[in-house]
Amino acid sequence: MTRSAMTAFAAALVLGVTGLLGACAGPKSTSLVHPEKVQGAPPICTSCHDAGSAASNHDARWMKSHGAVAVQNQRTCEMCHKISSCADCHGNKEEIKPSDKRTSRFDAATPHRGDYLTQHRADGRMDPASCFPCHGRKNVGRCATCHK
Amino acid sequence: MAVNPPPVAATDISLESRTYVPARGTDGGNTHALLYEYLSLDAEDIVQPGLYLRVGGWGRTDLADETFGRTSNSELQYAFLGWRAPVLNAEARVGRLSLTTGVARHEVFDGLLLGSDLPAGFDVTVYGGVPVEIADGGRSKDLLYGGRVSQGIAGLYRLGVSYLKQKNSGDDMREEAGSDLFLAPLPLVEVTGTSLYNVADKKWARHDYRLVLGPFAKLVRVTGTWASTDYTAYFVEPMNHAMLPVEDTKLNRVGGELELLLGLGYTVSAEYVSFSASEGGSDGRIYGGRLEWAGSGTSAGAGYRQVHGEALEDRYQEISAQATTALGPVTVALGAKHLAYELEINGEKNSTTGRLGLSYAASKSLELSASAEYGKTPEFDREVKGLLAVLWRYDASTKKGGTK
Repeated sequence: MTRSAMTAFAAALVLGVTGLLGACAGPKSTSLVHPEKVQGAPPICTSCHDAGSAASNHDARWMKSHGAVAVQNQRTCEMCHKISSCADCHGNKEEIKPSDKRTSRFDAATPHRGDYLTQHRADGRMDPASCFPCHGRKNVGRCATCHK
Repeated sequence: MAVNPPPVAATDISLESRTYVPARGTDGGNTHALLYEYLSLDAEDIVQPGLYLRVGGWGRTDLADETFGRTSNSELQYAFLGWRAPVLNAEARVGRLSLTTGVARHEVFDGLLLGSDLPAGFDVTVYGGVPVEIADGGRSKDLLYGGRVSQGIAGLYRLGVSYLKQKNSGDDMREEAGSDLFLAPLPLVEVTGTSLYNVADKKWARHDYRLVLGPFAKLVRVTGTWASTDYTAYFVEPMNHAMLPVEDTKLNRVGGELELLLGLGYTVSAEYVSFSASEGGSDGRIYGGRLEWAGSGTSAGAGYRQVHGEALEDRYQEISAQATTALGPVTVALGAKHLAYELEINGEKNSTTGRLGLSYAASKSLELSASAEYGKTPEFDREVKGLLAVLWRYDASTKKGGTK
């Protein structure tokens, strides 16, 4: 570990511990579970919350935009979703296509619907970075079936 | 002397079992039939308020021929004990963690996480542990650690900076820093995005930003996207060789989407994306449109998309349609997709798949579903796939709030 990395990590650790120790005063923590039953499928957060929550609305663009919300506050996701909701698609070894698990939801945005075996060749050549979040360092078992 | 008893936690337990039996057969090929069991457990307020447990994992065995090179497989996705303090969202987690924060994207490791809100809109998260093995060589001397600090005002903006380092067998594997942004400076204007910096290579690996304007008059929403990727800095070993980049290729992706929310459940959208790559990559564009309709318990949609890559082999047209309706406890879904390739693949230019799904909610805690898919594709003259699924949930909730 480099000296600068160790310094940064130690500083962050001190901040974290300080935060924990300072937890005797300050704003009340958010609930572990969403305190009200969430209505609607899919839920639109701004139905109850103010416009500042619009980024979290699970509307038509959500499949493409949810990553940017998740990297800022996984805690909010976990109020309604089990962690397995993320791991179902972004797992280390996941074998079932997300679109196959959704037996009664054929949303157009669900990745890999239908014959993706041939379609992925062009998509992968055009924009391999779009594959990497799920099939980069991990979840490559299915890739390795052909790409040995 | 009267002594107040300590607060007694009312433990909420949620257990979920999902069983999947996918099967697949092709002309002249092997038949695959597999049995998957996914289990997850969430328990809140164990022993004392704020203490919680999360466990999730799955196992698979083959019922017919060997699939994916092995007859069985399994994964413990996460298993940790957590504690959240009554104030400041101060939190600690220990065990097998599945973490997404800043540059940490779905990192799975056995270790510790600490986090807390801080004054003036700051918050901090630090973590460290031994990553779950994703490469050969065992876990000895493997290490992953990092953290994220962010500052913001709820609903207006949040800016985060983060750092992650991973070692494999004692050697440096990756070292990344990055930023993440949410900004809503005006009503109906929102910017989100992330930047990733490869510290080891001293190069920006990827910028990925999205601007959303609207919906204006609850009618029009415009989305603009920009992503710039440096392949050599972004695709870091170990990884499948299919991802190995052409040296020094950089790809810029600029896109836009226009959505018209027409009322009565109708939405029309049009999309355009342009790719421009340096040597070794592929220029191209994607454009298309969709019509969607959502009513009470019923939805339907159809769309057209054209992918026009620089090379003929990277060109195809896609037509898709789907419909779902709920008939009491039964949900019926239909979907179809047709791909027309510019160049033949295995002597075929077309690929067509159709799918029927049925699901039956037997009770609030039990759902049975099945789907069947038929395909005529460049890979298979005839491919038939089916999937049976059983979802069972047990909730012992003492609170009136939502369950997961």
